[in-house]
Amino acid sequence: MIKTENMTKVYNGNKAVDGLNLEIAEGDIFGFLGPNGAGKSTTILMLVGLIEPSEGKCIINDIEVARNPLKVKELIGYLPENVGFYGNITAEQNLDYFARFYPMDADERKKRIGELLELVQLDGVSQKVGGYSRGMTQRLGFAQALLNNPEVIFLDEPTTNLDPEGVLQLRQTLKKLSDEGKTIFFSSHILAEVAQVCNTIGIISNGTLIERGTLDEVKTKLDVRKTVKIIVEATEDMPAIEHENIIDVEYKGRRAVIEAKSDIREYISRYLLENNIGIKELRIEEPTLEDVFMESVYKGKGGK
Amino acid sequence: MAGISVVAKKEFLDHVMGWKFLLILAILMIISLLAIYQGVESYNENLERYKEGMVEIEEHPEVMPPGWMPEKPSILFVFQMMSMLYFGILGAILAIAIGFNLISGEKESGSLKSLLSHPVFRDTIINGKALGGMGALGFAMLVMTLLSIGILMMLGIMPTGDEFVRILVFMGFTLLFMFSFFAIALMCSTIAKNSTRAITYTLVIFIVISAVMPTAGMFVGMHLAGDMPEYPGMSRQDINEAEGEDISKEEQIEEQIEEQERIQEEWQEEMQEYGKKVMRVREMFSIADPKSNFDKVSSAVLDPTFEPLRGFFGLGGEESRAETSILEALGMVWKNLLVLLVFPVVMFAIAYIKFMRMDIR
Repeated sequence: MIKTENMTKVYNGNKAVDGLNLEIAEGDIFGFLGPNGAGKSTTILMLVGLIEPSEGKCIINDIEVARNPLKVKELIGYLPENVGFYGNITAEQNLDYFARFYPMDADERKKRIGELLELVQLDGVSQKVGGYSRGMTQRLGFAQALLNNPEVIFLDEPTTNLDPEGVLQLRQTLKKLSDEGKTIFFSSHILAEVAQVCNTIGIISNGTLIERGTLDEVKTKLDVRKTVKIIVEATEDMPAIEHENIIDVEYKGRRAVIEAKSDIREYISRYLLENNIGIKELRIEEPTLEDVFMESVYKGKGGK
Repeated sequence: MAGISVVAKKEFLDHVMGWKFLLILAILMIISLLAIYQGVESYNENLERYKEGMVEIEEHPEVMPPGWMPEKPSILFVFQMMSMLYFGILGAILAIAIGFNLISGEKESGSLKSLLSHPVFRDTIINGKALGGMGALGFAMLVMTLLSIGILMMLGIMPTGDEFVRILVFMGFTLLFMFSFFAIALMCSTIAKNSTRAITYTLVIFIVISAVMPTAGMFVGMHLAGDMPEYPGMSRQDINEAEGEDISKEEQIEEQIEEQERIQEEWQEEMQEYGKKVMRVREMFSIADPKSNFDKVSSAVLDPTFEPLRGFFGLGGEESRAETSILEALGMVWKNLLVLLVFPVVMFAIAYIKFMRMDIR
C-alpha cells in the first residue's frame, strides 16, 4: 500500500508538490495523470526515496520512506522517466550489477535476469546498451524495475519510446502483475494510456491533487458542465423544435444537435411522434474522460 | 561493505578497460621508457667518470685534494627525470581523465537514478567510485613501477637496497599526487551539472593552483625580498688603485683574486638568503598545489643529498651535499607531505557531502 500525508516538495521557494494526500490500495493499478511539470515525477522521486519531502511523509507498506529508504527500495521497483544505463556493458551485465545489491546468489541472479530479458524481448541481444534504441532501453528499464520481484512498482511515463507492440505488451504485463497482487503506480500525461490499464486514477496539476477515484468517479466529479448535448436523427428532415430548456440547436438535414439545460429526450421523442416522424437515433452525448480531463486540468480546476 | 566492493569492482574494471585509461597509460609508458633510456645513458656516463676517478685516486693519490672522493652516481637520477618531466603532468592528466565524469556522467546518462533506485546507500556509491578510481591509478602505478624496475634490471642495473626503497616510496607518493587530482576531478564531477562543466572546473582549479599561484608567489616573494643582490665585478677604480700601490705585480694579482673570492662568497651568501626568502613566499602560495608538494617530496625521496631550500639559481653550499637518510629527508618536507595527504581527503570530503545532499532529479 502507498500512502502520502501532506507530502510537499519545495524547490527554490516554489512548491513542486503541494500537500499531497494519497492512499493507494494493495493490488491497485493507480494512474497518476497530469500535464508536464505538474509534479508527477517529483512525487515519484519522493515515493522511491530519491529525494526527501520538504514537508509531510510518504509510507510504503507501513514503512516511512524518508526514515528507511533502503528497506523501501527492497520492496519497490522503479522505472524512471528517460531511464539510463551503463552504455559500455550489455543488458545482462547492467542487470547483474543492480542485482548484486539484493540478497541473491549468482544462480538466482542469472535465472531472474534471464526471465526478465525474455519478458522484455531482449534475450539473446549481445550488443552493449550504448548501441540500444530508445525503445530497447525503455524495455530494459522495465526489466530492471522488476529485478527484485517488487511488491510495489513505480512507472514514470513507461510507454515513452515504446512501439505499439511494446505498449500492448506492457499493458498485458501490468495486468498480470496486478493479478499477482502487486501495487502499480503508473504516471503519465496521456489519459488514453492510463484509462487502458488503471483501476483508479489521480489527477495532479500545479503540484496539487485535484481529483482521485475510479475513472467514472473522476469523470463525474470533474464534469462541471451545466448543460447536456442531445443527438437526434430522424427519418425525415428535422422540424424546428422549441422548448424552454433549449439553449441552442444545430440542424443538419435529418440530424440535430441540441444543447439544453436538462435531459429533454422524452419531450423530443413525443414531439417527433406527434408529427409522424420516425426516430433513428436519440441519445445524450456524454463527455469523454479526455474532455473532462482537458477541461478541468488545462482550463478549470487545475489553474492556480 | 559488500556494496562498496560491488561498486568499486565495477568502477575499477570500467577504468582499466576503458580507452581513455589505456591510451594515457600507454603514453605514460612510452614516455617513461624514453625517460629511462635517457636517464640510463646519463647514469652510465656518470658511472664511467666515477670509475675513472677511482682509478685516478688509486694510481695518483698525491694529485688529489685530501679526502676527495668522486661522487658515485645513483640510479635514482632516472626517476628524478621521470618525476620532473613526465609524472607530474601525465599523472595528473590520467587522474583527471578518470575522475571528471564519475558522477556527472552518470547524472547525464540517467544511470545514477537507476542505480539509486536499488537498495544501495549513497555513501556506498561515492566511496566505491573513489576506491575504484584509486585502484585504477594504483594499477597504473604498479605497471609503471614494474616496468621501470624491470627495464633497469634488463639493462643490468641493480638498484641498491636503499635505492629500491626510495623508488618504491617515490612511486607511492606519485600515487598520492595522482589521488589529489583525482579527488579534485571527483569533486568537480559531483558539483557540476554536466561533464563539460566538470572538466572545465577541474582544469581551472588545476591551472590556478599549479601555475597561477606559484607564479604569483614568485613575484610576491621577489617583491617582498627586496632588490636582488647585484653580481660584484671588479671596478676599474679598484684596479687603478691597486696599480698605484707600491707592491709587486704578482702580489697585486694574488690580492685581487683573494678579494674577488671574498666578494664572491659574500654575494653567494646574500643570494642564498635572498633565494630562501623568495622560496618561502612561493611555498606559501603553493601550499595547496599538489605538483609543488609532490616535486618537493619526490626530491627529498630521490635525492640522497636533499636540502629543502636548495635550488634557487642552482646555488648551494658544500655542506648541503651531505647524505641524508630517507626518513630524515621526509622529516624535512613533512609539511609538503602532510598537504599531499590532506589535500585529497579535503577534496573527497567536499564531494562526499555534496553527493549525499544532492537531489537526484
